[in-house]
Amino acid sequence: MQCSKCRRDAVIYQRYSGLHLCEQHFNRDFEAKAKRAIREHRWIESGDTVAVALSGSKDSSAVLFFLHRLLHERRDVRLMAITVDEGIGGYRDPGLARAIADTIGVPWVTATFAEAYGLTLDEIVARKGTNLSCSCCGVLRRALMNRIAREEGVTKFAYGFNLDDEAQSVLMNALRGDAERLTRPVREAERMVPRIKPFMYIPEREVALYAFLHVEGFDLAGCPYAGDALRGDVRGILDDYAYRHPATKYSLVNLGEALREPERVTGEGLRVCERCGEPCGKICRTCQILDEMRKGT
Amino acid sequence: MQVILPDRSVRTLSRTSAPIEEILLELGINPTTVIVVKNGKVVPEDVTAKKGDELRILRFSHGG
Repeated sequence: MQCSKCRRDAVIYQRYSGLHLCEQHFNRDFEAKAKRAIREHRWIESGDTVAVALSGSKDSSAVLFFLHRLLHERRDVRLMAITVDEGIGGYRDPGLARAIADTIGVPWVTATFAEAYGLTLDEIVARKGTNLSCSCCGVLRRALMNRIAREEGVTKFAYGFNLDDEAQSVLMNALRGDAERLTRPVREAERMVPRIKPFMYIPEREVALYAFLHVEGFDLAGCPYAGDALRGDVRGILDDYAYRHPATKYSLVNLGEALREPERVTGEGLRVCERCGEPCGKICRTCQILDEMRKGT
Repeated sequence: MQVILPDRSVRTLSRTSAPIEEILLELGINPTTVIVVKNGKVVPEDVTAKKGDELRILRFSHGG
C-alpha cells in the first residue's frame, strides 16, 4: 500500500484521516501533532527544565525521544529523565529506562519506593491486596517524582499520556456521573510541578509505532498489578466503537477540554428562526424541510 | 502463512491470500489495537498477506 503523500510504502493507515502514511510522513505528522499540543497549551518556555517521567514503557520512551529531538539544540531549555522503581518483582528493571536515557543522550535520575518510603509495592500489595494497588502506587509515585523534580529544579513534568488515555478518562468520568471531575479546570497546585502531555492528541497505536521505529529496548510488558476494572472495560468499549467510528476518541478529548474550559467553546447555542419564531440551531431545519418540499427538491 | 500472535504462539493459516484486517478479525483481534509486521516490515492492516508470508502481531501494553 502506497503513502498518500509520496510513493513510498505505507507503515500505517489512519482511519480518522483516511491517510496511508510512510515512515517519513508518519513521523512528520506525529511530531506536528505533538508540537501543536505543546504550542497550544504553552507547555514549554524559555528557562524550563523538563523532566520526562521515564518508566521504560513505549509511551515514556517515545516522549523522551521526541522531546530530545525537539529540544536538543535549544540552550534555554534543559531535558532530563526521572525513573521511580516501585519495587515490583520481575517487572521493569530500572536499568532498561537508564539504557534508553543513555542511548538518547539525556541525563537520568532514579529513586526507589524502598529508599523513600521503606516499602516496596510488592509489600504494600502483600498487606493490602491488589484492589487498591494502582491508586496507592499512583499516589506514592507522584509524590516521590514531585520531590525529586523539586530537588533537580524541574519546572515541567512530561508524561506519555496519549489520546486513548485522555478519551478513556473523559468516558469513565461520564459513566461514573462525575460532573466535578469532568468540569474541573486544570489548575497548578502549589509545590506540584506542572504536568505536560505532548501526545494527548495522538492515538496510542501511533505512539507505539513511533516508539517501535525510534527506541530500542522499551518494555512491552504490562504491570502485573494493573487491575483498574473500569478503565479496562472502557478501553474495550471505546476501541470497539472507535473501530467503526474512527474520530470518536478525538471527539471525547475535545469534549473533555470544552467542559474544563467553557470559554474555548465558540458555539452560539440555540437561536430563534427569523421566519417562524421557533427555537432552532444556526438555520431553522423545519423551514428548510418545508422549503425543500414546496420546491420539490 | 504463519502468524506470530502477541503471546508468541504461532498459528499456521492455510489461506493463500487475505487482507491482514480480515485475518486479525478472524483471530478476534481489533486491528486498531495492534501493530503488524509482515516479513520484517511494519504494514497497514489493509495490506494483503499471501502464502509463505510471516505476520508478527505486536500488542502494546497500556499505561506505565
